[in-house]
Parts: sequence; structure tokens; C-alpha cells
Amino acid sequence: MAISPILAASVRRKLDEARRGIFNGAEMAAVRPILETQARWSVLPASDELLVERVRTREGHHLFFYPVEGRLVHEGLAALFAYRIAQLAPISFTLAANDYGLELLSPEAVPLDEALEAGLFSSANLLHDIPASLNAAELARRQFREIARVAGLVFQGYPGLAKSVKQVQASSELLYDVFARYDPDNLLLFQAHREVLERQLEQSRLGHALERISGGRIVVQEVERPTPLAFALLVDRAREQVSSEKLSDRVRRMAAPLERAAGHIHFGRGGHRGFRSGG
Amino acid sequence: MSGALADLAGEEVLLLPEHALYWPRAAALIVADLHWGKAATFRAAGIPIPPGGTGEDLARLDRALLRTGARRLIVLGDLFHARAGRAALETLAELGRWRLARTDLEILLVRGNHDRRAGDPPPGLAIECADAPAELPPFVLHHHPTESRTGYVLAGHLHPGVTLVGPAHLRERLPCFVVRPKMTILPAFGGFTGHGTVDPEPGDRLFAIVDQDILQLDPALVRGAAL
Repeated sequence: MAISPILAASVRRKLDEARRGIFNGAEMAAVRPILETQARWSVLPASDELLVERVRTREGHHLFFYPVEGRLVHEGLAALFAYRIAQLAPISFTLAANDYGLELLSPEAVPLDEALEAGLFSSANLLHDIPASLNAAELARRQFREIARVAGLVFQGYPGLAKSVKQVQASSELLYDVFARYDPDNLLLFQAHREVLERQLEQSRLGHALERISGGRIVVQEVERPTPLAFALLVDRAREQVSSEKLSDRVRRMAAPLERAAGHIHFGRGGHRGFRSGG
Repeated sequence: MSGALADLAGEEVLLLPEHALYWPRAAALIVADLHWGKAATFRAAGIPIPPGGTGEDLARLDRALLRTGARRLIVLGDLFHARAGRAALETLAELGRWRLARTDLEILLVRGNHDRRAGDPPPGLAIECADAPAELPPFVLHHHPTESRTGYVLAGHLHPGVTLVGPAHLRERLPCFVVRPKMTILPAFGGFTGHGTVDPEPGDRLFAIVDQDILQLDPALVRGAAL
């Protein structure tokens, strides 16, 4: 369950208080050491600021944003930011989001300044950019699982019926791909998109969040290591992907070490056990 | 020609991005797991899968046949998905038209598990059928990947795929050929097919299909060969 707009606003206020050294109540006293570490390693954002942290680790180049708007809005913002940056240059991201913020992680450095100048946080063009980013992050494909089950596309068989239904089983992802390819105007696909827009992304909240962000200050911090605010995002492994690179380029980067070996191989000749490589 | 050249049991073959293997000396194009009529089987069960997949699969098959100049097509099992799909009129009509335009092409089906339930293809399609294993020295044609003492095995059934994990937790899922010392497992040919799991054994070589290319992968970079 993601936090509500009212709770989100309170959390932002609490962070702002902590920034000013005010720690009222047992809860704030309990998180005080963590927030002080955050302030030491980076900053605590004021309530009219958006904190952006850049850090490089072994995993790649991380961008952390902390709008504190709740997880559903952050999932939408992550897809939107990734989509907008990917329009500037071929790049691939994995995304993470929680109630406090969101992360874009990429193998290469992100052209952040260029993206900010191009209107990364702009609430203009949302009617185009949000559906495009949903597609890019395949959020509708994930949502399709539920729809496919309700629509009877994923048939589990009748309770107690022994007859096999194996031959009419397919994963909802495979079904989504088949529909998207051969029947793109199908109402069930439309439903998946609408549900993501309405339920998951809370479109109006997303717009409001962007307006709030663009109305305030953006604080970009280069940090040496992931901060306490970043930690929960950093360890999130259930990541969506957004890429404007060609599949072959992405795969080549992953598979680079063996690329030169491809092309000519010899196997199993004349009872020889094992492999022989070479021309 | 895009594809990877491999030497299996002394025979030069090509691993093709069309999900097929070509054996030049026998002018044979070898494929596995077409699952013809799978969408029609779903429709027969009241599940509204859109049509169109069969045509696209046939177009890819044609591309491979044309590119290689193959005179023979060998199917390593699971040609038809199920009896209902085999009987679906619209699918049969489409396959019949395709077959009529290629009467010179010799087609051999080595029966797989789905074929046993679906039954042999209708005689009009002029497809010769044989039980596995079928010997075509030095190869032994199978559906299930079962090693043989009499030759190098070509098989399907597993629908092998790999998940590559790269920097920044980026993942890519790709269909692949699994080339073993005594056996090669082909990727599923059919577009509307799920993908199974292959545990890469030490010494396995994996050749992934990346759009129009074949790329050899380091098994160490592959996280479980499941797709």
C-alpha cells in the first residue's frame, strides 16, 4: 500500500524539520541518527526542494530522486524520467521506486544537465509522454496478468476437473505480446493501459507532483556513496527497464567477452570428446 | 549470410537467426517446435487469441528456405500444437496454400509429444512422418534431447532460452541454440510458444538469437538458461 498525498506531505514536512534540527517525538528521535547521516553525506531536502543524488558504484551510474509522493507516483515518475532522458541519447535504464523516491540506474553516465534543460520535470506534454513511458517501461504488460485472468485468457481449468487443459495455457506476458502484435486495438490491451494510468500512476497526482517539483528548487548532489535515503532503492531488484538502445547493442555490451569467439566452432568430430575451437 | 558457422560431427552447419539450422551437404533446413495451430486451439477452447501468427511464422520459414536454398525441411517434432488446431479450417487452408506453392520441398516430421496427441498432418500437406530417433548419418534426429550412441543428436522440445544479466541489472531474454558435445538443441520455431528451461552443463555453448544475428554467449554471464 502506497502512502497517501496527505501522509506524503507530512513526511516532507518532517524531513524539513529534521533539516532544521527539529526532532519532535519518539519516531523522529528514532530515525535521528539515520537522518543526520543523510545530512552529513548529502543533504536533507527542504519542503520546497527536490533532492537529486548522483553516485557511481560498481553497478553503474545511479540517479536518485526524492519527491516523497508515494510509491505509485514514483513508479510513474521513474518511467517518465527514464523515457524523457532516453529521448536525448541512446541509453538503457533499470528503475526502482518506493514511497520516498525513485532511482534510475544505467551503465553509462546520464546527461542530467541536458535533461534538466530539456524539461525533465516539465508538466507539459504529459498526455503524450505518460503513455509513451508506460509502453517503454512495459508497465501495461505487467498489468495484463490480472486482466488476462479475469477475461478468461489464462485458463486454470475447472476445480476438480481432471481433464488436462495444458494445451490452452500460455503466460499472460506471451498473450500480451501476441495481442500487441496482431490485435493492437484490442479492448483488453486498452483496459491494461487505462488501469495502469488510473490506478497505478494516479495521473493527476503525477501532474501535481511535477508542478510542485518545477515550482521549487532542484538540488543536485554528487555523493561518494549511496546515502541512507538511497539504500532501500539501491537493493530493490524488481526493476522495470527503459531503453532507447537497439537490442543488439544492449546484448553486445552484456556479451562482449565472447563476441570474437563466435562464428566458427567444431564439435564432436571423429569421436573426439569435448570441444575443439578454432577456424 | 548472417548466422554462425558450426562444425557438428564433422558436418558444417549454419545456426540461423530465423530459429533454424541449415545443413548444406544435405540441403536440409532443420527446425523444431513449430506448434502450428496453437492460436486456433485456444480459439477452439473459447479463448480469443488473435490470428496472424501462422502467417508470420510461414514468412520466416520462407525467408530461411530462400536464403539457404534448402530442398528439404526437417521438423524435429511438435509440428502441430493439438488436435483442435490441426483441424482448424482457417489454419489448414493457410498451410495448404503455403504447401501448394512449394511442391518441390521435401518435408520430414520426426514426431514429438504434441504430434502424438494431434495426429499426423493431413495427407494433403505431403509431410512424411517418422518416429524418433530418425537416423540421417552422422545425425540422429530426435524431438526430446536424448543422447544417442549412433550419432550426433539434433533435438528440440525444450524451447531453450537464456536470460542475460548485464551492468545496471539490465536483463535480456533471448531464444538460443544449445550446442553440446553430442547434441544440439534448437530453439522453438513457433512465434506463439512459451519458453522452457535448460540447465547449461559444463561445456555447453550457447548461441543466442539477437534480432537478425547469432551471438555466442559466455555461459558465466547467463543466469539460468530459462526464458
